[in-house]
Amino acid sequence: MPHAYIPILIFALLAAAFPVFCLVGSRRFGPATLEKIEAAEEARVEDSTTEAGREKPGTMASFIAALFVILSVEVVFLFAWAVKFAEMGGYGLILLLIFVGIPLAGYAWLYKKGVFDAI
Amino acid sequence: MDSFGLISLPAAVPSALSAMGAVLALPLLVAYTAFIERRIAEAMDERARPVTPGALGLLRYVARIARVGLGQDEGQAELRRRIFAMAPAIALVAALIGYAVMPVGPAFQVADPNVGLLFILGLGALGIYGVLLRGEASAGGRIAMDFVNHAAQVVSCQAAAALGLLSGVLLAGSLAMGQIVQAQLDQGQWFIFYVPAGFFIYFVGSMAAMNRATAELPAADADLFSVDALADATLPAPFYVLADYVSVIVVAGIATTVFLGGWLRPMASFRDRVPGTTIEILDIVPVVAALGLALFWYRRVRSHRTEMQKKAAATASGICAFVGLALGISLFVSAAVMAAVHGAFWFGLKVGGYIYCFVWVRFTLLQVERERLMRQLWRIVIPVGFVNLITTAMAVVGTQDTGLPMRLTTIAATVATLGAGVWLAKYAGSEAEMQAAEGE
Amino acid sequence: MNALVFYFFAGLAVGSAILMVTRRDPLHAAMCMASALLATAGIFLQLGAEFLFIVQIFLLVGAVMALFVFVARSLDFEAGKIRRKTGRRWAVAGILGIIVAGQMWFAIAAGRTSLRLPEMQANIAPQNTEAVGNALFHSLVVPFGITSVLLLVTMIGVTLMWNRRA
Repeated sequence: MPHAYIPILIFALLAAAFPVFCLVGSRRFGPATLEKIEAAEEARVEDSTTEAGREKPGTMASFIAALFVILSVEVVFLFAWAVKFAEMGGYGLILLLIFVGIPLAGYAWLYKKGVFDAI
Repeated sequence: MDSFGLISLPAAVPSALSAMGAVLALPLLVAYTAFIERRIAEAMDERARPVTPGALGLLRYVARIARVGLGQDEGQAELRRRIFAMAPAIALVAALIGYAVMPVGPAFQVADPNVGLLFILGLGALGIYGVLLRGEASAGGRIAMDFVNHAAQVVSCQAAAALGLLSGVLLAGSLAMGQIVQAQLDQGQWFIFYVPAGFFIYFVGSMAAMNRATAELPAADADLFSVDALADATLPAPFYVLADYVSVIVVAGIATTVFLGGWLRPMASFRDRVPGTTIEILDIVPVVAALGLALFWYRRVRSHRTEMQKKAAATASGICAFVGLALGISLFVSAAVMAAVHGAFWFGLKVGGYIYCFVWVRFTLLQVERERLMRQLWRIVIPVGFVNLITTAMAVVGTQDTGLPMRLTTIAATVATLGAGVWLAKYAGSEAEMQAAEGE
Repeated sequence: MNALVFYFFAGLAVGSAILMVTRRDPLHAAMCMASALLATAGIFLQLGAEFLFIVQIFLLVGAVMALFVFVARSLDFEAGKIRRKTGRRWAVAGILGIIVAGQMWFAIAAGRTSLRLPEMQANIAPQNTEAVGNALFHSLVVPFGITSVLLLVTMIGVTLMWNRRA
């Protein structure tokens, strides 16, 4: 079975060779933009430390990320379920209603409570 | 079981060769995607075109892709700690590997693992590191926060897109890309006609998941291909831009495979042949169309006045003639060659069409800011995705149990999904109004 | 060849796991953990557990690790500023570690005699997703249902914690 992945491995190596080639190539032949970049970097660092540096970043984002993890678990199980669904028929539908219904009910409750207002 | 035995290597050689071909063809594909995007952007903005590229102009895009790769990332490697330097490469490679499982026609697929679709989605999940590390690399502060928020948007959209795909997988009963296409051939219908709601959810999700913020797109006058931009270090690292274009093509490939029938031609189950031959009637249509277009552009060459326009028309004519001839000749060679060439043609056409719509919508409709988009995603799109899944499953069970045609049950399912969507949108809207009232 | 691949992935996994617990910068630690998880995914692939392989990448490397990076970002760690805290945390960590080690030992001891890996591998290999589905939706359907309750609890817990913070 993992034979199918050998071409993918070769493909991945080739794909990885592309950026590596570019990076090495740029070191050899690329235009010398290093000083320019450094200057821009310094400017940017100064800019960020003055105004927005202390702002607390992304609590909302991490909340969404947590929701995303839950959703991903759900989705991964559902992929396995979807492949088997045609054989399972009505039984599969009941499984879906249980497996999706319970978290979805919680989701709806949170929705009503106004948790997602902040998003 | 020697799973990684050397014995299997010779068998992998043809696929390795097509892998190499795909990697080499990539800058070209990316260049043309960028070209399409730019042309649409120009049309939308009614912006003056700096140059109308002819044959040489298009090749120039390829050259510039190479230059972009060679241009800037050196500074990053020098300035950052190692993982930050790796980040853009991770983003690019993750996006690139997705090509390995794309079924470009029955003959051109590097590999078709059992879990192909999840494989691409998993790689998309890896691509998120590109965004996150890029934020980390940008020296903290507001920029970093922006990237973190942006990454949150990307993951939300990926979840929505996966939900949309689920309805297609449900109908196909497989995660292998080749088998998903085969299922559409067997059922005699592209899945977009069975689960249009699923396709729509995927479309919205995948569009919003693109790495560049939608808002910054049209304003980006100094785009990827202006030479000045290369020297400007405040622009995102070129690899990210490349990865972005690459993933546009991958996203279009997934949509084509799961919803648009992959390499199948329209009406794939209609198999009448030209009397006395093995050539199917419908396979002649694209040949005639391509040759006709070639003729049309050829006539335009003379009517155009400027040199540039002549060149452009000549290029278009040449491309159409080449495609038409390739399609036509393959009809007479053998069934396998015919299937391969025509499959690749249809796949390419569908991917191109999807990208066109994608870019088009991105430049016109989707000018909402990020926060609003996120709100719609979590409030409407994702719940509707679940509803769509449930209704589709009900439709399938309904067909199995009562023997009603799929067409009817899926229409009922789509109507139900749409109803839920409208209700949710109204609900979310009224809630927002209430909040606004409270705020005042 | 097979053994070579195994030792490569195993070494990579152990090495990055060690790096993970020794790095001070949470971001570096997260990257090391991602690499350890990827190496484990490689071992899954080698064993023929295709579905598990891709779930590992999609879920753990993609979603969970992204969450870690988000959280590290939002807690505003600064590299190298986390002090080693001795005392109770060590005790708790030690107890947890012993429990996990005990579980591992128990699982290995139980599996050594009863688990016939090559045979199972041959069974699950060709249609891996279907095999997982069969197990999940027939013999393991009760745990599967409980998972959904677990997800519900997690969702509510996350929301409560987040609301308290905000």
